[in-house]
Amino acid sequence: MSEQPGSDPRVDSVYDRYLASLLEGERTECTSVVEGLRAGEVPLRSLYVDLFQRALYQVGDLWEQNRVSVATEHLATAITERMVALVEPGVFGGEARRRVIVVACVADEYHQLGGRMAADLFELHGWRAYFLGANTPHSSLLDLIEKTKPDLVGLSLSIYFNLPSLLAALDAVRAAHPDLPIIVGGQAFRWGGEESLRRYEGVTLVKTVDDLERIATGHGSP
Amino acid sequence: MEAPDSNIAIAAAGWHFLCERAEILVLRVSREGAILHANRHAVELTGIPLEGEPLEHIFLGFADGPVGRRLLDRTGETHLANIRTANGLPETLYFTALPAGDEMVLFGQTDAQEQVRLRKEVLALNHEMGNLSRELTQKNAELAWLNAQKTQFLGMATHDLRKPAGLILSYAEMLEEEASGTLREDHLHLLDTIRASAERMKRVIEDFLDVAMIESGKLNLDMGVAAIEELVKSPLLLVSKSASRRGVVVTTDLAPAGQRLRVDGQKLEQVITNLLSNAVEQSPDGATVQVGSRRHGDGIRFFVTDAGKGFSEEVRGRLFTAFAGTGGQKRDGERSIGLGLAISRRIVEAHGGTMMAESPPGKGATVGFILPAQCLAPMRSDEQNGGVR
Repeated sequence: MSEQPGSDPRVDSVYDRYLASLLEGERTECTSVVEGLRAGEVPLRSLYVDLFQRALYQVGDLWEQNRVSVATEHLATAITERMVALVEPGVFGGEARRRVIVVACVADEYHQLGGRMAADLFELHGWRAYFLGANTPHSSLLDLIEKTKPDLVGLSLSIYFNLPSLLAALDAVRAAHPDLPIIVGGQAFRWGGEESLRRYEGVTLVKTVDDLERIATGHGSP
Repeated sequence: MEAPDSNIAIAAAGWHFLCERAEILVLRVSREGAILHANRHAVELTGIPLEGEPLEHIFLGFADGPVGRRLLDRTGETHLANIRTANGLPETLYFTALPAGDEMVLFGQTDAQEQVRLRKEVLALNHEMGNLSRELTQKNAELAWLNAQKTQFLGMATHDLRKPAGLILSYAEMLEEEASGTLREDHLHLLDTIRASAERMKRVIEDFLDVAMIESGKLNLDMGVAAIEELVKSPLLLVSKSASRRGVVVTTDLAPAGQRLRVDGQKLEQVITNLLSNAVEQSPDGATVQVGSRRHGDGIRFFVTDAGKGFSEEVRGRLFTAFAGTGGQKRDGERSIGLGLAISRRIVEAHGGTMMAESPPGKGATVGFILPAQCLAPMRSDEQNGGVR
């Protein structure tokens, strides 16, 4: 049984089985694990953080170590996206929301799951979270901001080499909305990039899920 | 320049790699088109041993003649061809035939760029589908919430309207009874219009209250036992006035006679009243409406048949859905809001039953419901004998 500090023991007890199934591309087995956890009323946050995020980080590590192929990594991501869709009905309450966030992945960015899960975590904390998926053109992002008048914009970056696309998106949003708070985050920032954000006013780098939730609950900047 | 021995060794190593490790289909083929040897990948891909098989066996032949023969005849050129695979899905490979002494060697490979493009597109489509699914789930949750708000509002508004509507109706009836002798004819007519309108308003309010109660999940059944004859008595009485006014005759054909049901009698009477008043409303003057029942498998079927215009298949699909636009025009020109059948459906479903509707062309309509076996109560004679039908 794999354990990680602070994680739900019920998730820990099935984690290895889930990860093995994910790497094997066994969608049905993954579904069975997730449905079992949902039936046991494991909180959605634990599923997102202790299962989905943890497993995908581990798959990413294995890929970086050349122990699994990019095809395996893509399949694992696609299965996880399906698992997120499976539990997402529990995320949305439907009632009127006072705060709005627009979450997007920048142009050339084909990894969207982190952004989607971040958007869902905001929903769990009572926000209306609009999500624009992978490879969002600036025009679509600006259109949605115009339409929904969000309190916050979140930009996700998974691949460090796409940092110029993120900076271009920040320039575009800043030019149109000088005072709109923006958060950025994603696996790309494991390799640096923080210093390139310093020239932007009101842009906050969010490094952990806890930091993200502090913002979502109003206990952290912005 | 490598020495000849070294070239032979390199060629042998290369051939061994092609035969055992490479993800390329390699076939040694006789000039007549028989497979002499197949590499590991070819055997795994096709799921058949291949050696000794005619080359044509691996191809999916369409109308264009023998594929293998054509490939062998166009030595050195690369052509697309589809093969049968072990997993049942056809696969398209790029084939090149090269001469090798008295034999031919046929190579088949996928286009790596094509595969990359395919993977990228599939990923993008998967993302799009995921995002649409998220948006749909989000909107569904919002709609469910808005629907609950609507139900709550409907309940509150109609609850507040019920009392004044009831008062208007009572006072109009009282005035009709007590002041008819002192009022002018045109005033009496106005008073009658007030009473009829208040009655209609009260019915609409009651329907809305029923919908609000049902949609908020508060439909509680007060179960009891009643004979089928008792269940139709009150509905027959309630429609008798409007039926006789138009010369519509209502007949009954209830079977099995005396069958007792374990149901919420008041609510089922509401369903039967609704079906009957619809049938009278839809039938032409002087027509006959029949209300009946029959055993239906282990359960029982109630039906009301009218002599009206019936309904189309398209309307039938929406007949029991609230606010689905199937209300239609009433005889007095009023538009029905069409909630009665939706309410009936919920009541019947709460009993474990289902609604039914038929409308053979030119033969009016039959609308009714089927109740399951658990709604059948023992007959009095069975109870005396200690048995249950």
